[in-house]
Amino acid sequence: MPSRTWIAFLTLAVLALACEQQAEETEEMAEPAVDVAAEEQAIRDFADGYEQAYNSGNADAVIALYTGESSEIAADGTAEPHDASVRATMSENPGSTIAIDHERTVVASSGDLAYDMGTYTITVVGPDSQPMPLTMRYLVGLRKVDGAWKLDVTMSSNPIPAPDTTAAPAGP
Amino acid sequence: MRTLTTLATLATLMLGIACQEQPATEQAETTELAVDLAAEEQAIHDVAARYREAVAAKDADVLTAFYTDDAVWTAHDGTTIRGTDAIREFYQPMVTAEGTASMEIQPEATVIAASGDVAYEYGTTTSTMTSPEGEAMSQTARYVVLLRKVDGEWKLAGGMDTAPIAPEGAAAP
Repeated sequence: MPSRTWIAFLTLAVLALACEQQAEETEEMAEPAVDVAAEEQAIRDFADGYEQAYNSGNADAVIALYTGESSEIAADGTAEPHDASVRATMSENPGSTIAIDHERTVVASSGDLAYDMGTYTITVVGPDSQPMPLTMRYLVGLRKVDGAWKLDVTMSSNPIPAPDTTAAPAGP
Repeated sequence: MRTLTTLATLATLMLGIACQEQPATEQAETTELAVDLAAEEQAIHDVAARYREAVAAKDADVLTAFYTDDAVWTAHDGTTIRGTDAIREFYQPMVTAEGTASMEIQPEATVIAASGDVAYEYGTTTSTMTSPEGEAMSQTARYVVLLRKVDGEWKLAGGMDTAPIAPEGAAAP
């Protein structure tokens, strides 16, 4: 009979230890898994990829960077599906290039949603065959789809005046 | 001794059950504590409703309080204002104008992070200014707003609106 008691106590002790270990594992699992800074960097890398796809003239590769569920909202208030908008921009401006300048990127702590704003410059070939840069402000919402960031809603302003780089530096 | 054995066995059983059930229970509680996205969407729409009330009240301070301290707003021409002082100033013409002001907001989509701390929304707004003589002037534009939760409240962290658009179904001139 005493041995039965000891077995019961031993079992109790083992279970208690196992239970504690399980609780510790649960706590470890509860730690936040999303590295927001890494996700912000991933979005900047995504933008670099966008520039490369656009600048290589590959409309399909550019379109693949959108969720396909939203629209490009233009400054004049028109909204167009991204695939049509991208193809129109790229076919109307052959040889154009894009450069994105981020101002702010904010990623949700869950790492599935973000927004980004800043300016981008599309350089088109002007009527005199000279490069003509057009800078617009942009604002985009991004969603992670199958582990990859995609552009969801996007909005651009009209071209803004380019900073005057020819101004003489302030002197005494 | 038999009592002790029975107690120990009972305790073992209870501990075993508790240990088995604890993760499941905690998981269920975690699920319950997980963000209720429908409730968050409603919370964002409630903010929009209060914003409309503040427009009608022409209260620049209340309107400014809807924004984060570092909010950035861009107009369709690229003009950009940053921060609450600039935003308060932006509202002055509307606040000081004679007559009444109102705004309707028709969201097309409200997209919220699973964590419930970041969201964006797009749709159309119709702003109407009515002169003391009763002459109303309305314009509809598209908008995108970026929202961030600050101290448990949804705030406008940024946004952009378009030039006025013709209402759907409007007759061609």
